[in-house]
Amino acid sequence: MVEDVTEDDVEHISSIARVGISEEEKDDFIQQFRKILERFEKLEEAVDEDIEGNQELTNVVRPDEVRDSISTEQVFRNTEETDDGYFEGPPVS
Amino acid sequence: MTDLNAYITEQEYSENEQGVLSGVEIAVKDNISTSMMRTTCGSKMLEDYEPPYNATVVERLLSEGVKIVGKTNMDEFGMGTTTETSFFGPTKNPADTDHVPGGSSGGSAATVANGDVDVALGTDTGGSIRCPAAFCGVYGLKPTYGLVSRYGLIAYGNSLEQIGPIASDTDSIAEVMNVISGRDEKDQTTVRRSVDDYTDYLHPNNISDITVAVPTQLVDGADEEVKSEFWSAVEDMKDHSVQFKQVEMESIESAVEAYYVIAMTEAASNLARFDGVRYGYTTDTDGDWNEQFSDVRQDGFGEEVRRRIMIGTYASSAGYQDKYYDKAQMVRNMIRKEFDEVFQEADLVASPTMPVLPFEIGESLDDPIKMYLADANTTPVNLASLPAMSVPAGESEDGLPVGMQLVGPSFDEQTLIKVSSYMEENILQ
Repeated sequence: MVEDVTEDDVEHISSIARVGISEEEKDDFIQQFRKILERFEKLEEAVDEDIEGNQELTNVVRPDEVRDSISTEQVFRNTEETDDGYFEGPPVS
Repeated sequence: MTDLNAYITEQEYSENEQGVLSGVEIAVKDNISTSMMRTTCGSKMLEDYEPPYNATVVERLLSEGVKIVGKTNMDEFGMGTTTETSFFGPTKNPADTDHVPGGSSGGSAATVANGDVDVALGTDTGGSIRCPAAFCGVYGLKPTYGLVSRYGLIAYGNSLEQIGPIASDTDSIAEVMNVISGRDEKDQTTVRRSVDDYTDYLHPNNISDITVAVPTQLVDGADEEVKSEFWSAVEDMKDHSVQFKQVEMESIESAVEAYYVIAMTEAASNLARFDGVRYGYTTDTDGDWNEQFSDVRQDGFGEEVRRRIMIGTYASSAGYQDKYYDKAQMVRNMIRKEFDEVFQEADLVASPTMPVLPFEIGESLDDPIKMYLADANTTPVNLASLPAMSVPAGESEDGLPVGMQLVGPSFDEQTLIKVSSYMEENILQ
């Protein structure tokens, strides 16, 4: 049930989405989540059987071919955190 | 001269004096990559981002002689209906500066309506070209999904969105569509289909061969003044021998919910790339990978963006995807089927573009759901991947613009352009 969305749930979502929210924001987020998810419940009533799509789908996957891409200089254009041709990120753990 | 705050970056650039659009001044929505000027998506996350490449539509337009005049303001990452979620502040509606210009392509519509440019590019995921076109009293076209390349469009809802033109006249819409439409090897969702010359459909002598279906579901819930202007435009079209029929499209009643589940899920995926490592806002937190990413994204993204990413994560997560995501996809299929059926009996579907008049600036910020429901008329079109145009149908008593939405079958932009051009010259003032 939507009323069961708790602070723990919101913290869990925040963690798996890697999106932080502040303590001050938490209460508002929980209220909004509940209201929005409640509206989404409407979808269950709208569908009474499994409806398959009827479009024709074309597989456009092509063989992997090596081609030119953008230059290294362009690749690193938007950061200074690089090391010997690699992007430098935070420690994994 | 009031500053509408329509631009995030004002900068002129052109490459070519020749071409079918030689001398045309164009404003480009700031989620479309331009390597010669920053591309921010209306977000702190990309405030200083300089793309290493141009979007395909930008390349095509530059090679046909346009002059880009700047990058327009937008709701952050396209998430909004009023341009108020922009990190760079709201844009004002030139029709009445206390009111919003619509969103998310509010800057594009405002600058066109204000007469600053000939044409602007917008993008439309759930109504973001049509809504601001309607609210600002100009023309805006969302093409059929797959007609215009999304290469270089910074993605929000990749199964829903298209780049399209916003202009003060139908001629400009057709001319820009000629240049930007068509197969692009860099975007494998573009169709292999020859593209017509859309300008062949301008200035028709009559539209008496056209039948238009009006779905009850897209009119009944609208504000009285919106309905009044809509029906008045319908009467004018009837005077010009257009046939009308009322239809019921039950699946549309769940369109907004289906749209938001799908769009938010896609947003969660598409915005996962913003982690501060290769580009964009970054922090100096002393944390591990997860802590760092969480901090960057908490600071770099505004509230609406974070809300949508989190709900999208939830709706598609293990244990919940059957309930939300799968059901939304089924509703999407139902909507497609219903439109197909209606198009067996009619050439176009018409409705008010928006069920409401332009909000006052600040009015809709406290209630996300109120904003989402304003998308009721536009979202069915993105779900069905169809083309649709908003034409300026009239004004409220206080002078606030009201748009009429015309929806066509897949790849029938020609009929939309034909009817819009006829209306522009014979019906709309």
